[in-house]
Amino acid sequence: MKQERDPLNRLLRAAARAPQHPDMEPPFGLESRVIAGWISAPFGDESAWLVPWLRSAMAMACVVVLLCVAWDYRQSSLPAGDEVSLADSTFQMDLNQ
Amino acid sequence: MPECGIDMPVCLVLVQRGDEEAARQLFQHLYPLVIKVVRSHLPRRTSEDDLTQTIFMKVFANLTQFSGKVPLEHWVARIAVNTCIKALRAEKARPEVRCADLSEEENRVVDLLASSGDELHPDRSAASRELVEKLLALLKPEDRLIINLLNMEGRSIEEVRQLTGWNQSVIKVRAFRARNKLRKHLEKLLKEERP
Repeated sequence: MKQERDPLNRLLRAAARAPQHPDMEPPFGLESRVIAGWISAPFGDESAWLVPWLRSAMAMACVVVLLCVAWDYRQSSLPAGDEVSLADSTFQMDLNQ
Repeated sequence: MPECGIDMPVCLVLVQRGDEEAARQLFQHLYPLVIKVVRSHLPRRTSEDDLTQTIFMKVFANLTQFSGKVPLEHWVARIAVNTCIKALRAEKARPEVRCADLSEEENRVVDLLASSGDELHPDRSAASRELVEKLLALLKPEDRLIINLLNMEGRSIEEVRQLTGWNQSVIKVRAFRARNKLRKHLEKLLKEERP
């Protein structure tokens, strides 16, 4: 018979053969504790419905912020408009006088 | 058995409506599954009952989110596994195991592993299990989990995927690395035993 030289494999195989904990009955009081905890919060976290709502709100807020930043960037990168022309013409007139 | 005769869809509806008797039935039905997961992945300093209670509280609190696309047992097992991983992460990994930390029986197992290539006698399985648990405590929670699921419980890659949500390649790579780390720790012990 071929011998398994890897001690880890032999150890793991031996460990896997160890008998399982025979006691599969819940200990006294555990069921009552779980049920009592559940009754005190029967429908789970009552604010749980807020989580998806807040998530959507956060996503929307991020989109709005991005749009604002993009709009601001676009505005600042446009060539100077009339307001500068007006100031420029006033300046020119002052120089001419 | 308590699960005999349980009509799961009806039971779930009743529990969601707040029926205490149905909740007790569900607890009895799921307890063997949950305790099996807890016993396989219990952190050293955590009480079995406390962890089981935490898992059940999560199950009951999130029951409305159970879609029914997978069997309830799979969904519960996944919650149990994730809760155990979280508990294991909270625990610091042991720095190392030395022969002095082992019981007489465990040292005997180390001796046998070092001295021959024969399979260990079934009488040694309990001590082997203890030794593996001590070695697993040196690994990261995810590594510990993968060795437990694949090697101790004999689950398939597909079952591990369902339980953990990791994809198959992640599972294979993680298992390979976890085994290598475990092997290194064992080899250290074997060398210590037979310098």
